[in-house]
Amino acid sequence: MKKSKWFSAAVATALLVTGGAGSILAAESTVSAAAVNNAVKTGSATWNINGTPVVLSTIDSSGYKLYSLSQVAGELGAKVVAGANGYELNDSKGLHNVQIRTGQTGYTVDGESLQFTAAPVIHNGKVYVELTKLVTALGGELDSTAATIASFARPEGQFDTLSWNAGGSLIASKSDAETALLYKFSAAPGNYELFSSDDSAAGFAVSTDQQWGAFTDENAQLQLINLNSGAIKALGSDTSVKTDLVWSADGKSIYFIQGDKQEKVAKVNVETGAISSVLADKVENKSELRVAADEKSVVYIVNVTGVAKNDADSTEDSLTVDFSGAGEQLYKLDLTVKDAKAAALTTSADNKLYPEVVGGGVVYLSADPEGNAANVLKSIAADGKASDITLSAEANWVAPVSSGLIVSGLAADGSTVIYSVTADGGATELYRTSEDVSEVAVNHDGSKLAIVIDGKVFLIQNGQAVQLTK
Amino acid sequence: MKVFKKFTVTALTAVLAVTTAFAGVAAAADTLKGKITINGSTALLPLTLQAAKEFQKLHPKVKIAASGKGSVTGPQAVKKGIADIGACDWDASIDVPGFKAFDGQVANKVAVIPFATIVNKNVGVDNLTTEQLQGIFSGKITNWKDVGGANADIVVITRSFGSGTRVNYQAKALAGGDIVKKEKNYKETGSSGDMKTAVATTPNSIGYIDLVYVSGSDIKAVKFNGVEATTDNVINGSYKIWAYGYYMTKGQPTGATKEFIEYVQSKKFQNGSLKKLKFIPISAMKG
Repeated sequence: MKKSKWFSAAVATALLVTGGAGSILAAESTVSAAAVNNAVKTGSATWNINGTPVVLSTIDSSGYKLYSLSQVAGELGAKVVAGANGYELNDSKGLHNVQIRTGQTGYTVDGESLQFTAAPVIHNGKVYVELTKLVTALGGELDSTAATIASFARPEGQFDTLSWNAGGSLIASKSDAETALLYKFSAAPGNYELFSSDDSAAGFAVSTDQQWGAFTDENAQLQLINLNSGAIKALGSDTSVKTDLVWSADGKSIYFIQGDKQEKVAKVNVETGAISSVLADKVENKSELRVAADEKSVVYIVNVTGVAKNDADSTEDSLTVDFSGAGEQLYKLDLTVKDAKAAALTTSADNKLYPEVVGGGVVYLSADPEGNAANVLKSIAADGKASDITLSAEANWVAPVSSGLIVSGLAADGSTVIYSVTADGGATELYRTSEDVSEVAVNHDGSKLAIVIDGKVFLIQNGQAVQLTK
Repeated sequence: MKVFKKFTVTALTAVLAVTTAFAGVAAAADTLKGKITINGSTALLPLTLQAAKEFQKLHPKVKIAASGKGSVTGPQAVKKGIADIGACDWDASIDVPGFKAFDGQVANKVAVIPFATIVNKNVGVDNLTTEQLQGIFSGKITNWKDVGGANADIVVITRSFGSGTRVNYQAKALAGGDIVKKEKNYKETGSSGDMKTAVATTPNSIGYIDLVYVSGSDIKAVKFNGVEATTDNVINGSYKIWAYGYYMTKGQPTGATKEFIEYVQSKKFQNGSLKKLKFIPISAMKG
């Protein structure tokens, strides 16, 4: 196995962590504006704001450090308007309105009354306020330990089901919401927006150009979601059960498993919505459909069920169930031959996951159903020859790329390792972490990678791991 | 929150060019293993197999083997010790008409299953009342003209004894009424698929089936007491022919079996794949 050149990335959590009350040195009691003004000391403090070091003007007064209102607001992109009743601030997205008055601890955020510990004061014609409460009021996020500020706070919660779009944005599902919500993230922490509140859309299949996602709603109606705008439109009107949606490489067709018993393979014309049959061999329980880039073949898994028998009266004594033949088997269908029959690629009893078409052959993850042996990445070449792909870690996730696969695995020391694997079985280690990675997403050209750790989304960019959610 | 302690990475330009964007779950430090066997309801089988596929991606070393043979065989198989989970369209831990409780078994609610009365496409009737259905399935009403249709014999198609669909249909659609075997114009089928085929290919026939199976142009669902068979009408309480689907276990589930049942009951699966297979999440029902 080759090993790529390594370097250490910055610790991700150092970038942004929810901060405490870093702007206040003592917080036992409130003080009047006059009291603060009587003992003012000017100074400065350096904070990293949206990734750039900024020196902020401060005053220290009776144990309180206050920051220049206009300077902080300006750095966060907020607008400040002075009026007869104080100062009104609005964040750059127009989401938050803050109203403060010098000499008074009371202030409002979006109409809600809150309290400063130390009242804002005027010194040399400038207004100074508590930093943490100002940043938070404007929808920002502050980490006092790392001395970092972001204009916009990152969303909190459990996220999963990541996808990339053509514009380089990452789309993730917030899974702990009452119904799943889709958020779209840019690379900058805090720069995100609600992308879709259609919970059926979570887990959409991404087109090759990453412009569209395809999914079915609760009526099994095909839907297309624009991965830039979030706009959704119906595709055709068929409501038969469809699973395992897969786009063709040219984006003109979406293949899927069809039927109440998942007994067919079909495809829909993306332009017309017309559905045509690919395979109707009455073999039930198909899944994990994959389509070769040249559309000359499809590969899928058949989940073979056990065989239960009983008498006509369904008596308990007569009931027998034979599970000996139950399990997953891989099949390949040659689409270049009219009325071809699917050919079985496997007969073994191992668990088979993540089948992928690679270089004319098929690669899949084989797991020991007894749970004793390590998972193995198995390859079946176009000529039927089977072999194992050796990795230094135990593989547990596989996804195809143009020149092979991206594989995630667990090393002996518990680290999660991600590899690129070529069609000939050569593996290159890409990165690793000691944390448990629950999900991996790679974008169209491989320049962007994202992972989920403990429900938190991390963007891997230029060697840095940037935490996008908290 | 876990702290992201160590993270080393190569330059991402080294990541190979891809033709599309991929994401997926990875079995992070997974140690769960074991074999789970499931038998019973054919109606719940597609749901079970879909859940098994997704669960195995989280736990690759867990083997899940499933089979379908009618609801009663679910708790029977659990009682005999030949399956870990008995998929059943009723709560088999309590007595129901026709079946005694399976003592010591625990009913784990996993889905809401709507059922529909179906007729062959040539039948002109589009609504039937409880009383009319009781008459048809008891054999007292034998001609479609007596319920507003054409002058043609009614062919009754029913599921075999032991079917959960039959138990629920009798309880909900027939209000406890009997299904009486007849010498002619009567047929029993062994699975939901066979029921669909039989009604689709038999003119003047009537049967009943899980709503998920109602598709195609050869059969049509008829209204029940004037209410259309839809998931919305089940959820809003106006359509009454539905039941919970259960995974029966011998006592409280443990190990991999417990983990699997919890996955099926999870919000992710209930609001995701389960809905796409046309089942209704258990959380959708009030009370």
